[in-house]
Amino acid sequence: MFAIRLVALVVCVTFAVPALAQERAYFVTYDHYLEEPGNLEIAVATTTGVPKSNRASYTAPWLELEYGFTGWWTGELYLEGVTTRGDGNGFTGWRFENRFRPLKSEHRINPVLYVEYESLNEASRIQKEIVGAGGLPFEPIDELREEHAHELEAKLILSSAAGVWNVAENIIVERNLSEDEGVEWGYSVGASRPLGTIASGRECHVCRENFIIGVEAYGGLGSTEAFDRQNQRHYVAPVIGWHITGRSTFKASTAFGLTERSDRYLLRFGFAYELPVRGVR
Amino acid sequence: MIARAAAITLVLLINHLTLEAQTSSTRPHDSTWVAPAGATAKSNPLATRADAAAGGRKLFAQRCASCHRDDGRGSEKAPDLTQPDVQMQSDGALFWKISSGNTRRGMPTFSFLPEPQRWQLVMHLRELGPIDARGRKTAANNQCTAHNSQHFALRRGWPPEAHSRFKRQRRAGLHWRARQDLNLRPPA
Repeated sequence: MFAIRLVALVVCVTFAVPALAQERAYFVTYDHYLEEPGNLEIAVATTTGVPKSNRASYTAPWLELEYGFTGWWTGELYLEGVTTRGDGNGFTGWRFENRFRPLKSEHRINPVLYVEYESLNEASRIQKEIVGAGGLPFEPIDELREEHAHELEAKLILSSAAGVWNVAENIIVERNLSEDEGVEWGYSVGASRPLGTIASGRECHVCRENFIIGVEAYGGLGSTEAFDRQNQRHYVAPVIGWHITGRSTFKASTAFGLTERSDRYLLRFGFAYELPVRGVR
Repeated sequence: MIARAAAITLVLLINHLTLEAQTSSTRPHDSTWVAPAGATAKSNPLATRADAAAGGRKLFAQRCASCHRDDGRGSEKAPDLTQPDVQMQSDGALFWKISSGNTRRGMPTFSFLPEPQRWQLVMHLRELGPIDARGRKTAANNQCTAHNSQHFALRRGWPPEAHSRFKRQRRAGLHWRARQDLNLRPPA
């Protein structure tokens, strides 16, 4: 069975049409660029957290499958897990998100609507977004995995292209469908730009035009029940993205915790591979 | 097991080749997609930089060829860029369309590319031009190029004789010399 899957994968990759990934450099912030219609992006990424207290550090890997259904609709499936030093590891849940771009062409500010359903347990650590208030729970992973939550999340993504810069702002609301916690709020903002502005005529991997640098900031803003400023988590994170080949992108970021409840650092790494498939509308 | 793997490979190959064959039909242009007047009047700031065109070629292969094909003749996913109705559009209009996209028709937004790179793409689109069945550029393309070069000269305030000389030298195959003359002459 493995041999069949391997052969199928090799055939798909070999006959795929070249296309350059337009993967954003951000880990948390979304901009208004959707996946190209008919393209499937497969990405793996990790968040490694170094808490401020003497608690054990953790690493939360996730797999991301992003598909461009049409020019104005992109869907994404996440599968995530966690591993903690000396405290085991496990699957922490899945998410399914959809992004819709209501406007046909480019404007000064480009809105995108985001809707996500999450089926997670309390051990989830990937921190794709931060909402509400309060630190991460540090009970044993096995115990946390017993506590499931179904959540609905929505974002208003506003993004602009200003010269060579991209500036994006996300306003996040999340509702836990399993427990009555009110509606939780969060935000993320980011700015990024490519290092090189003119494309050279030669093929190159390590040249300025293939790198994107930027910075993003994100955090929780309490809930409708309490703003709870003392317990909020906020981070600021420089990010870098590298288009290694026409189809693959590597990105990395170090987020610095700004509040008492934040972890000391969040180290994030990601690798994305874009695969054109059929089914274009 | 090996036979099963081979059979699946064969089916995938046939499927792929069938789909390739289906791509012979080209998606029609969206006639309602028109650049605003302000955008149309913009001129290409890289027009005098001949070295920038090579970058445009590379960008086209990376960003556009998967839908428009390497030669720009289009596919079922995207229209033919070598057609006169594309080539007769101004540089500014093409730049606007690359930047804005047309998400309802599957054309992505490329405003994430820095502006110079989008102008490089426009330069490469000009190189594509109409192509005949043998893959050669047609007379319509030459007219297009002359039309664009005239605009290029007029926009910069070059005197009319400079443009005539440009055309004469062009015919004589001294294209590089003509460009050099134009670039050295200060604007009127």
